[in-house]
Amino acid sequence: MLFPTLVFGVFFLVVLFSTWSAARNNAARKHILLAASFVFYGWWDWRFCGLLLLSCILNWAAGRALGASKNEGARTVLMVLGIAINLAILGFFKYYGFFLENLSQVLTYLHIERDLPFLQIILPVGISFYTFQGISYVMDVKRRDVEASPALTDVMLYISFFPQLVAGPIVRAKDFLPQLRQTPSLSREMAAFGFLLIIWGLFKKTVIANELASGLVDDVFFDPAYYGTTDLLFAAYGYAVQIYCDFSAYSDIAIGCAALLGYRFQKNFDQPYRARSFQDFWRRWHISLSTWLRDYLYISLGGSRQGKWRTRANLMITMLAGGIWHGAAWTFVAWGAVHGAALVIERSLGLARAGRSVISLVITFHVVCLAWILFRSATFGDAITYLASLGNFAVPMEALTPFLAGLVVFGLALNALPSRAIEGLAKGLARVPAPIAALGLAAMFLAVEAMRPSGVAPFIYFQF
Amino acid sequence: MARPKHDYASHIANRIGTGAFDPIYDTKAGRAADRSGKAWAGTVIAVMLMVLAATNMISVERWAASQPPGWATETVRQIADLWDDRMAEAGLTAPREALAASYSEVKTTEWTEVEAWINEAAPAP
Repeated sequence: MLFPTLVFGVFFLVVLFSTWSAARNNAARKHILLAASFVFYGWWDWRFCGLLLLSCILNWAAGRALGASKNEGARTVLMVLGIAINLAILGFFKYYGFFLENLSQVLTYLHIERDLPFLQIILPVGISFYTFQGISYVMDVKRRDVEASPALTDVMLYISFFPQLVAGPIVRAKDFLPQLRQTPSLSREMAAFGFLLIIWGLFKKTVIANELASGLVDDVFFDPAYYGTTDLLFAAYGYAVQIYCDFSAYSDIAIGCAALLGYRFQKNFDQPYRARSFQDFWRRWHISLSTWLRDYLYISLGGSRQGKWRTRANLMITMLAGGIWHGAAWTFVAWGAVHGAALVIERSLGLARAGRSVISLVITFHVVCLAWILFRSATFGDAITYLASLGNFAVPMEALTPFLAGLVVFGLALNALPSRAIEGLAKGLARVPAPIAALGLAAMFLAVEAMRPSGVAPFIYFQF
Repeated sequence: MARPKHDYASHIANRIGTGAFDPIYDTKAGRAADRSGKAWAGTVIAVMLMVLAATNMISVERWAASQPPGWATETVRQIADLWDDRMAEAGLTAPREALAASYSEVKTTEWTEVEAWINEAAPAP
């Protein structure tokens, strides 16, 4: 069930009004949301629901065991066990095939013949996101940032809550569980914020990201050797815009839906292409993942407290983990390595602290685009062909049209908007009488409908 | 009196103080504010649905047409089609159609046309 579809629209309205009708009974409300979340997830493939349920129960049990234990040593063992189970589930579904493929290549290289137990495993949608949420719960309970929930329903809803279930934001247990303990309320500002975020997300996904994907990026990345410098350059910029508009659109719609249901999610993107350093970039891009990696991995490894070299190693490990989290392919690892190396260089040279100019913005953006080429390419060979073809100055422009060039520029210009534009607009909208606000919102929605191409491509981050 | 550890309001207030949540959530939303918020949001949704039903029923028709054929989807498609025709006769679909047509024209612009505009706009030597 994709967000920008009629089916989701109807589904969401039914869920919204059902929860409103149970406003005074928080338990009933949570049961409605839980049932809705499993329907939403089962819409892709009902068999995935079993895995989601298993993940919820295992994390709830790990939390209960942690909550009951007073011995710190035993608590540490329980936490490690909880994390290991989460990672084992993720590892099996996401990395089993990748591991065996690589093992097979190594064995072939060593002239060892073995029949490896290859399996056809379907990757359950959103598994990386809800696994990380499960780990967040276990670690937050261990750190006593949140109390172990006695109610299975709360943990299930925290892990499976449908707005963020399949592509984030990765919500923290300590942020969400306390919200579930009280009946949420909806102010006009939150409602206006929710409506605007949903329409803004639909615009970014359907009008910008889908158009760039189908008109420019997909064709150029499919056969880069065929295209010239301008097409390749704009396709790289276009992909930077596409992935930003695609992923931030999902986050915006998720945050907007949660707001209408009365729940608060943190911002997941903050105009990433205006970053003037890599440290700054990771404070703006996929914030829920970068802070997750910082708090649960980087700091657990020792962070920056154990000397220069250890800090650099910790940075590299964290970014490599971030890369492999995206997908079981070496190109994602290389993407993480590029970001890790950039962060290490920046920290070593003290660049992140130095005065930042427009030149740093341009350099940061272009290195980010270079890394996106690795991220988007199916193989290293494709990425190398892409980079080598950037020198095809003699090849005439084939794919880029004035409209697509304008869309790339427009997508980049979104990063220059006032950073709290939607919030400001929401506050203004909340003061307007409902029928007038509705006319304004309907006009915006209608404009998106008029401009969007037919059909809806899945969100890029569904594959992760 | 100290607040309970998981008091929702103080938790959110503390998180807002650390910049974790957007200040847009920092409202004194008591039961009355909640009722007012839901009444406002409910009216917005109802009016939006009416406006969109009058101006954008073609989306429903397209959705129904893209579904596997069956009596239900075919019925929905025919009703949406009929409704859209009625709304078009009343001129209510004109704004969306005009915007879609203009946007489609922009999408098919060629570089030669852009060049011609630039030449036209450039001052004569």
